[in-house]
Amino acid sequence: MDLSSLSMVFKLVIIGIIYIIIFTALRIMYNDMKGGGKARRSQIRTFGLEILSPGNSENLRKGAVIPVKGVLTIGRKADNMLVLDDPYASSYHARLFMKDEECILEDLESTNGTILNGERLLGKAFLASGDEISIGSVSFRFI
Amino acid sequence: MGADRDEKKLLKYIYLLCIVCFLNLTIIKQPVDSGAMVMAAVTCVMIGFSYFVIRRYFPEGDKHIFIFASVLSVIGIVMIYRLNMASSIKQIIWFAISVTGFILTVVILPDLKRFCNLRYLFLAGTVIFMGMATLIGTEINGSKNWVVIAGFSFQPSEFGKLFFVAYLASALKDYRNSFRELIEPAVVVMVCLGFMVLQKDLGSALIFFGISITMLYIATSKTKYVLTCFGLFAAGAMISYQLFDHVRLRVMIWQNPWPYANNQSYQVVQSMFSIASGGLTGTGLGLGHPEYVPINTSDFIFAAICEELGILTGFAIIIIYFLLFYRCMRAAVNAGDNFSRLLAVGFSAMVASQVIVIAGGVINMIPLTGITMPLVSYGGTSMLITFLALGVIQKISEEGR
Repeated sequence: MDLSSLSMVFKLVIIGIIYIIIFTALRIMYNDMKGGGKARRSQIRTFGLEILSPGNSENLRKGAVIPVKGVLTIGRKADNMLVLDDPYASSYHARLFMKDEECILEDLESTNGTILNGERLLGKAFLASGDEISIGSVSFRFI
Repeated sequence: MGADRDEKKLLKYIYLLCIVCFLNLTIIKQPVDSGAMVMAAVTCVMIGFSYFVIRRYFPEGDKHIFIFASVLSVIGIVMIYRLNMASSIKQIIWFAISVTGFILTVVILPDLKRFCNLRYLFLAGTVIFMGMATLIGTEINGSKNWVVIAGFSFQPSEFGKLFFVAYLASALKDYRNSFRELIEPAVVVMVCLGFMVLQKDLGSALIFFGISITMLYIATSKTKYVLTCFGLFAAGAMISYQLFDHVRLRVMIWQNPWPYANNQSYQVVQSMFSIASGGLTGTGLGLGHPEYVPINTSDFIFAAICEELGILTGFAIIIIYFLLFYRCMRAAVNAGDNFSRLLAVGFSAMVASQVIVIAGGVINMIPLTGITMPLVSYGGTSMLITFLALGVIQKISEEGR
């Protein structure tokens, strides 16, 4: 008899816990929906390329900032996202992309190379704020 | 952060649930069964570890998907342990494999956009897995949908489901208002449904129909296509009712199960008795008689849960499924591109329609068709497939932010 009354208590406890889980989850979701939008936006870091010297490219202007979102391809061909009108830039020169909140610069085997902080970049490198990148006669600062 | 703390609290409640349930199972047996506590510990450690991995390495993703999935799995494992100890140990191994699969899907899978042009590969996968059981299948419990390879049996239609959703997502992602683009997917859907009916697996046929209709509506947002589909479905249902005995049998049982309570409709009648005897709060774990219900660890686990833990738990399970569905749909809304969106919609529709079909079937609301209840039922492939699908959704939710 005491066994069944024990199980009686247990079953009520179990049902109680399941409903507590549901309500806690609902409350989190509610808070998430109410204030989530703003809080989340400020957490995502935004990156950009500031143009230090535009070189020969006429479409670039000194001091302008190019935002980096997802992927930014750089090169001489018109289908790049950032087109450099520079004889020393390759058709598809380099690529900037985001991974896990970090920004990575990748040289796409360009003929004249991508210079990162004065050294020629081989393959890929993580970018930190303030790094200087030059491609041909154009130079950028990563911010 | 407040949200973080709340999520940890949620996780603690899950541990508590797990421990209380197994403690109950430990003491109801006369020689105290310490194996149950081991099970509880293993389950808790597994959930905690996976949650830690997800939180640590993928803080951007939606963590609720995993939480709800683990609540459902805990309830399932507890119930299976009470019904059949050997199955539950297998189930917990499958749970471990599935959770690993879930994490690996999130970790290894590269950007999903890369898969969106593999349409014909997905098509081939769908047809192979669908056709497999028709050709080399074995018949278990009246449907010919099992394949036994080297002593290891599985349901190919479960794997087919994953490919099917992926195929439909890649076929419908470029839909631009022309009817012609829909002909090929429509033919594929019909072929799949045909295979399912031939294998006498009506439950899967219903699921496939549910998935395709949801994805069609999301891709085209036209009501007239959906209505056409329902029309075709009604026609198909009528034809198969005329042609196949087992369809007629199911409908006959559904309309009035009572005259055949001792033979054809034994399962459904027993399941309804058992739900009714449970009442609002149930008989308590280990005190009911779910052993009268046939196949009680997989298809009829919902009836067993309702008997021992009451219809309140039954409702809770449905609510958790609903929340899971909601989180999956939320990932779809936030997804970056059409392919990921359709993929997420398809997988969430897969889980949802599975729940509707089996929960409806067990309470005789719709004709009963034997399929598993995702995550709760005993069944390795079903659990693995569901966790893989959820892993893809998790991945999508992470990209979407």
